[in-house]
Amino acid sequence: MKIINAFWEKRNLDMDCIEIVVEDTDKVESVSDFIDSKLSMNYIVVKVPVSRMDVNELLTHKKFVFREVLINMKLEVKNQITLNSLQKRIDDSIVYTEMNSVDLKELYSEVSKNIFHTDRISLDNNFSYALASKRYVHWIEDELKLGAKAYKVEFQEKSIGFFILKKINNEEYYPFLSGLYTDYLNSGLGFIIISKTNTEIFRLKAKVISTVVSSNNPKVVRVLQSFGYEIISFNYIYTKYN
Amino acid sequence: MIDQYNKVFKEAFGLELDSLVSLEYQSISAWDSVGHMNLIMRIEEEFNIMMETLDIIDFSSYQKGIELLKKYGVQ
Repeated sequence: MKIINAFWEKRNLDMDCIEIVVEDTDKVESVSDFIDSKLSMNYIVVKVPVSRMDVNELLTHKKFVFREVLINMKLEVKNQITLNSLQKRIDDSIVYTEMNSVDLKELYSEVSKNIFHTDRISLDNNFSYALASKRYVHWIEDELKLGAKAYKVEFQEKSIGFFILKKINNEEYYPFLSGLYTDYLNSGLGFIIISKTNTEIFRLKAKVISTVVSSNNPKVVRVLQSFGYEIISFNYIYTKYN
Repeated sequence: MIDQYNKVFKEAFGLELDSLVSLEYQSISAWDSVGHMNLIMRIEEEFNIMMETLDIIDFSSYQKGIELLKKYGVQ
């Protein structure tokens, strides 16, 4: 088991939160005892590898709620991703640049308009879209301070979306958050954000792109798979309030 | 024109005719970003046209598509 004191959720959700990452070798009794010892925490998140049905049953018995499957995906960056002729035509008409402080303000404003709807906080009746948006803004601010870079994607000089890259090491990047802005949510341009993300990571000469997608967001999984991303692993996510 | 248009939608999304008229982007899981590109490619091929990016972005429903295609002489 890995135990993460998710102190940032005190600021985000005003809750004491702990995240428990169950591993293949953990005994179910140990997981049970540990959870029982942490029932004073306001919010407990448990990540379970798919092989551990015994832990799934334990969590159900302890009245945890299943929230999502987190899907780890990866792309080996050998070449630029292949776009079909239509995608290429659209891609050529859209540009991306690194954000400045004005662009970041626009990003935070867009995030506050609830452009994300598929994470476990947004979909949880105990929270709200507003709270989830605030959490995203804090997360972005924290990652930028740690060295992540944010990019805006533009069509005809209007921002249509964004992506943020986190460098894991010299060979691997993690585009931890990306999306379309409100006016373009129904534009069909979701693939462009992924395409531009990959173009930048290719330019940075990385060898691997790794990312995590929620099962509550299957359309992103479809786009990633269409560009050759492979599914590496699945983890079940359960939560409980005390 | 409308028969060709309906044929493209039916083939792209595997739907019956009576469910097409009210169809909007993301109203079914198949009409997502990947499905949208597939639909536009089929439409361009069927009517031998090349749509502008702005029109591809605006193509947000079955009805809107009919309106947009007039610009390309398809009606």
